[in-house]
Amino acid sequence: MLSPRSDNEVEAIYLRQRMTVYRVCFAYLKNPADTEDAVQETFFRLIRKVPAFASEEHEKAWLIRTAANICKDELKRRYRTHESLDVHPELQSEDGSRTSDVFRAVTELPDKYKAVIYLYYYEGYDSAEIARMLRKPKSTVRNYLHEARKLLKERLGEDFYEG
Amino acid sequence: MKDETIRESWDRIRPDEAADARMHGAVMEYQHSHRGRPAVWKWAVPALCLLLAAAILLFTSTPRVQFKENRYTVKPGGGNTLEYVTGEPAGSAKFAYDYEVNDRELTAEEMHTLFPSSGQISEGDYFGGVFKAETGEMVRAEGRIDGIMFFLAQAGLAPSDCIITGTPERENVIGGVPVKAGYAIFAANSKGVRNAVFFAEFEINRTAVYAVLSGDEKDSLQLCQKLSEAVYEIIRRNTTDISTIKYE
Repeated sequence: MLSPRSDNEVEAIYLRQRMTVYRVCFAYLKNPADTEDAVQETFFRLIRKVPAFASEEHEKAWLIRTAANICKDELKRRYRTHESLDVHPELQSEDGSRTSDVFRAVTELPDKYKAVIYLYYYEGYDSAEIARMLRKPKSTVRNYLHEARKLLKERLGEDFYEG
Repeated sequence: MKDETIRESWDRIRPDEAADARMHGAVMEYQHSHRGRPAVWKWAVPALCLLLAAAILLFTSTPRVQFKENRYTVKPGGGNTLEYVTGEPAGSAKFAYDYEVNDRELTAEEMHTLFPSSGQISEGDYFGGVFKAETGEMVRAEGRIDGIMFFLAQAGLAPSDCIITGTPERENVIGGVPVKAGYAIFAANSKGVRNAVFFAEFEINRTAVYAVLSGDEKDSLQLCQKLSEAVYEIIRRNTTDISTIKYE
């Protein structure tokens, strides 16, 4: 239970979850340099704390919560001017930037909504599952989703709807 | 706009190859440097010292740790006795809350407040707290200090779901505090090591405490002695109180 994980185990978790962790961190920090640091710190904590996981879902939930806490601490500790999203090539979509508008709108949501939006829309979890992962009441998660969708609709215009 | 647009927008967020390689390298380097102090070394020197001390004690005085009839009996100090019977240790318990909570890591100072006998907080030590959002009071905490896992909870909340199946010959009472204690031995893992897990549960200062220590079955005497002494110190110092830590 308390034995350090082997190199293979750590590497397997890293390769399995790094994109998830990266996307969550980027949503908070909005620039690749800080995101890279936050991703590394998330996995450093995994190595130090050696948490026990009942499943890969549990593993993902732990990493997302840890990454979110690291990012929130970073945002509290330092004020910095975020680079414009326009300079990041990965955000330039081929169809004329619709997806980058969407992502920009998501990153501009209040911090408390970001992890919920990511888990709901990207990972496909329902509100009950998200509530367990983030250790929040189900009613809170439903409120966050409702409020976040309202804000996205305001920012993205009337053609925003849920399919 | 459909859900796919939001998913597509996230899909585009990925590190470039150089960043991916840097992060991968940094994580594995940290893993290697962290494992440069393998767990066995943390046990070897103190375990050898304990073995030597135990050997001397065996020949010169009443044994402090005994294993007899599937029970470990430990004398952690102060004239107290702690008996471990068979049980099923809890895993990391999953709790649902019917109120909003916040969580954060505790500082080294806060860990010392809870566990003043812990000495220098080392890099491997950590503690995380769950706080009621409305009041800022800590309702649960879990972490590891000096190799021992601790789960704390406000009185009335369960810190764990450990199950003691054996019956101690006597009720354990340490410094006037009832303590339930148990152990379990697991089948050999892929390296042929049988894991022994010792655990103890008690309540002080309206704080429920569940402590767990595990290791190689061959180190069982040292494990239960170390856990017993930690439990004894917590009760003796009487400062572990979950209500002293607030979310700020």
